[in-house]
Amino acid sequence: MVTIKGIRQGLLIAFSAENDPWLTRLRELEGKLAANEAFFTGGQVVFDVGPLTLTCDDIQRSVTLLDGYHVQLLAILSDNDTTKKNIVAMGVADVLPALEIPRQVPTETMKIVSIDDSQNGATDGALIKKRLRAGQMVKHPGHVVVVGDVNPGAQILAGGDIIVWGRLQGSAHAGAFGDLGAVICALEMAPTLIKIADLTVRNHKGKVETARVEGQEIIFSSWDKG
Amino acid sequence: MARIVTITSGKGGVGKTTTTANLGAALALQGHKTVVFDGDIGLRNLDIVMGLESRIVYDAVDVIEGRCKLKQALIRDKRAEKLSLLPTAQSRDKSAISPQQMQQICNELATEFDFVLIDSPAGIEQGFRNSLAPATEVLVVVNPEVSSVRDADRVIGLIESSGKGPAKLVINRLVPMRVKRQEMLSADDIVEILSTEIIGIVPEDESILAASNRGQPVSFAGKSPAAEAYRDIARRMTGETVPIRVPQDGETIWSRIFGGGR
Repeated sequence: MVTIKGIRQGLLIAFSAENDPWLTRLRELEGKLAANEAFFTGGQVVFDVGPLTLTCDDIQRSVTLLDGYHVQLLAILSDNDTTKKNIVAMGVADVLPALEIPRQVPTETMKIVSIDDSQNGATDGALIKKRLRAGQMVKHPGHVVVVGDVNPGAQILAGGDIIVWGRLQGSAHAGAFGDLGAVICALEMAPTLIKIADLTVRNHKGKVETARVEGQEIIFSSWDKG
Repeated sequence: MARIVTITSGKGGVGKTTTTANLGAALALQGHKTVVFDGDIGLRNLDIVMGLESRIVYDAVDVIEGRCKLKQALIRDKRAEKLSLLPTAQSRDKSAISPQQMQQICNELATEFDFVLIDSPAGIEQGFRNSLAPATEVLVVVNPEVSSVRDADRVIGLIESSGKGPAKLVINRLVPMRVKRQEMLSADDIVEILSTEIIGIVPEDESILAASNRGQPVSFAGKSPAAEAYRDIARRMTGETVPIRVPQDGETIWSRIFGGGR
């Protein structure tokens, strides 16, 4: 299994300890990359391969695959001595990079504050306390909370939910990895585009609303009606 | 310490050059040593709008490439002794100059002048980045129309993330009658989207077009509403408290003041 979660440095891609050949594992990862190209492109990832044994070839193939999707491999974390040697031999880092350099989001540099609290059933999210302007994009594998307006021409891509404490006029894609349970809420709904998983609504207008999927459709329900 | 003010917009044709020329003239007539600097290499216009084209000998690219001294490239405006123009090259393009070189020129200008006004090219590419690099403050010119506001929003975001913000807004070419008929965005509509402080609203004014073609910026002598608006902006830039006038249908009324974001 391949699991993806957000970390300060970018995305952590964890490979569970199975004995399938590395190529099979990479194919599984490629499936995820291909399904959400917009999300991954320009991103930075760290592999966690646990006890798996990777040859130099395996590492080279991984880098090539990621290159194809414009994703940068920052490091490979491993508990396996052979793998560790190969990682170093291939010139890849084997520890998480330090956080001195602020994380770059490709289109625009956004300060992303990670709500890292895996206790109490809480999940990861990014809190953005500013107005998102035209051309600015926020991508996060977890939830995205914006305290401020999302202007026309701004874009949010989230693996989880999107909450806008303000007016949503740009485009918002929640459940980007296919989660139909994701929701989008805003104090004022006036988006150019709303997507949940692969469902789309354009030019909806409403006040305080939540958008969620019911059946095969995005439904907007107002806060007042509960 | 001189103030280096970059005038930009994202979208083309909204009045950056006209604004630069008129603010330059107004600031100079109000007693501040001012230079207007054309940042639009290859598509220079500021010299034409200022009516100084025929006096160009050297330009900013000549200065950078060592063919002349900065003083030789500066053109002193005979209509206002405190006003000068630094023209740019006609035959080159934006890659002829780097942000660092732009900074160097402005550092040198800053020793001579109180105000350096840079007329940025349209767009968000190198010409814009060159013009933004030396700025100590930024004015964004916006027309009351959706596409101009969208581009202004983009540019304000870029200004913020480059640490040059907050920018201030010049709303240009407002037609009160069309706002009233809801055919045009109002100043309120624009502020709601951009949440940026307005430094002035310039009404649409036929005399501007004629003035630009004659090379005689209206704020030199004009009594037109646009000329007054530019002179007011110049006074606000130097710290005077001048209430913002919202042009009204038919007549200009001293109206309420806009400020700050929501």
